[in-house]
Amino acid sequence: MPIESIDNRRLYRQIADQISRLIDSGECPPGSRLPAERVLAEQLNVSRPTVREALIALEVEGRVEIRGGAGVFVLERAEAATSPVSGSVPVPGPFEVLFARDLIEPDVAALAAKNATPGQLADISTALGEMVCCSANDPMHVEFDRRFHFGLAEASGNSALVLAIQALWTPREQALYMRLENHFHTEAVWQRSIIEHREILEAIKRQDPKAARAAMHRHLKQAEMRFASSWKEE
Amino acid sequence: MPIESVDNRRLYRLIAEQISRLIESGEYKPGSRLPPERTLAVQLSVSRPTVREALIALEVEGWVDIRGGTGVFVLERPVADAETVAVPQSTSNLPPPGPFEVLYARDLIEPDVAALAAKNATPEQIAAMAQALGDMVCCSASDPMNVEYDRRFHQLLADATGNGALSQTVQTLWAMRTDPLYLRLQDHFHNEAIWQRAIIEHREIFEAIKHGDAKAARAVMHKHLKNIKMRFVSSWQGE
Repeated sequence: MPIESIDNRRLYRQIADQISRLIDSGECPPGSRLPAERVLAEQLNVSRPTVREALIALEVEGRVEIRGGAGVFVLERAEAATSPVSGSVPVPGPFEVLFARDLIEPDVAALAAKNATPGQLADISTALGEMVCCSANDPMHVEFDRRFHFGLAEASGNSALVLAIQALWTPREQALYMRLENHFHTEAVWQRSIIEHREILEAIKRQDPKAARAAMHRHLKQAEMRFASSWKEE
Repeated sequence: MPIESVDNRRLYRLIAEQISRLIESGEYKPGSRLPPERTLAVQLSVSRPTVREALIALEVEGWVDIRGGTGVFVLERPVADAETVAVPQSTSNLPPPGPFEVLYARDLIEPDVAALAAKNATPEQIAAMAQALGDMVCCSASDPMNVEYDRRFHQLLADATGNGALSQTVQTLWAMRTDPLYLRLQDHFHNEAIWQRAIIEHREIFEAIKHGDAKAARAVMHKHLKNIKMRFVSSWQGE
């Protein structure tokens, strides 16, 4: 697999293109099941999260259907030209986004613990309250989650960090990320996520930067682990 | 000074507006010299970097003339378009982040970016960094292209992490870096000696990445950003 560094394509995109060529060539005909993620990862010599990002991209594009634990099935090629997940520069993959957020947001949480004003604390509390009142299948949960994390960024007191966090949330609200999340989102997952957010806010309210940093790091690691876990049963 | 958290205005912006109100009220007359930064910082109960950001914002808007070590002088109030100039250009209606905020945010992110680049850079990406560094070396401090080569170097590092989300984040931070506010501040502290030191710092970063030394890459990037901050908080250059 030659590395195409010049056009700076995302790795998951290259893998998705390889799999889609296998489908086009008849190697994996419509109706057939693709090899397991683990097998694909070994064959293509990339990590399992990257294979998962590629499969989700192919699902968004209508090339495959992911049937939870039953496997990933090749669909009939859609007649209309399938549009790739995005234009010439694909959006960052969800695991890339979580990795980048984990570099930045723990520090943001620590700064918020030091600098949050009462008004900012009230905004973050409001966002958490909305999350608590929201069920897992309410599409608004993403919006309240976003408000919570933007509230923290505001409370850091650094407006450059606010813009950086905003930029990182853009891919979070696009099809690739949302589709991946859908596969792993349940009421139980959402309730655990609410507890993680509560721990972050409590540390910020105690003005404990160390605990806030640790709680945010834990939350992002948990999010990554949820997305890397086994597919939900159908 | 009440904190106006509701409309989320930048702190330097609040300070700039306080100073411009003092100018409008006649407290500071055209031609007069503003109190030194240190005094303003004490009076307004903010840090000196924030006062400096505010003075640069006022300079960009034509309120004051910063004459290096001689001091900051009040200009005649610009007659036409004073209101529009007063809002710095930005994609949103919020003022851009201050340069010291940008440096702080970059220092949280770019050392990790450099470490990841040291682990993941491909030979092609290392060659592209070498080229950006070569362009910097051939560029003089007075050539406006120096910012572009500098940007290219840092963006190549971000691309070399192999993480698209980090690439975008660094891009976002660099968009602020090329804002007039930042460029004006840099102008005040930019000279050939500083530019040559900056080149050496970039060379150290490049060497660490080339050797695949993540720890060194993180350390030298952090040092580079700390040095930039120190240059910007140093005394104004003599006229």
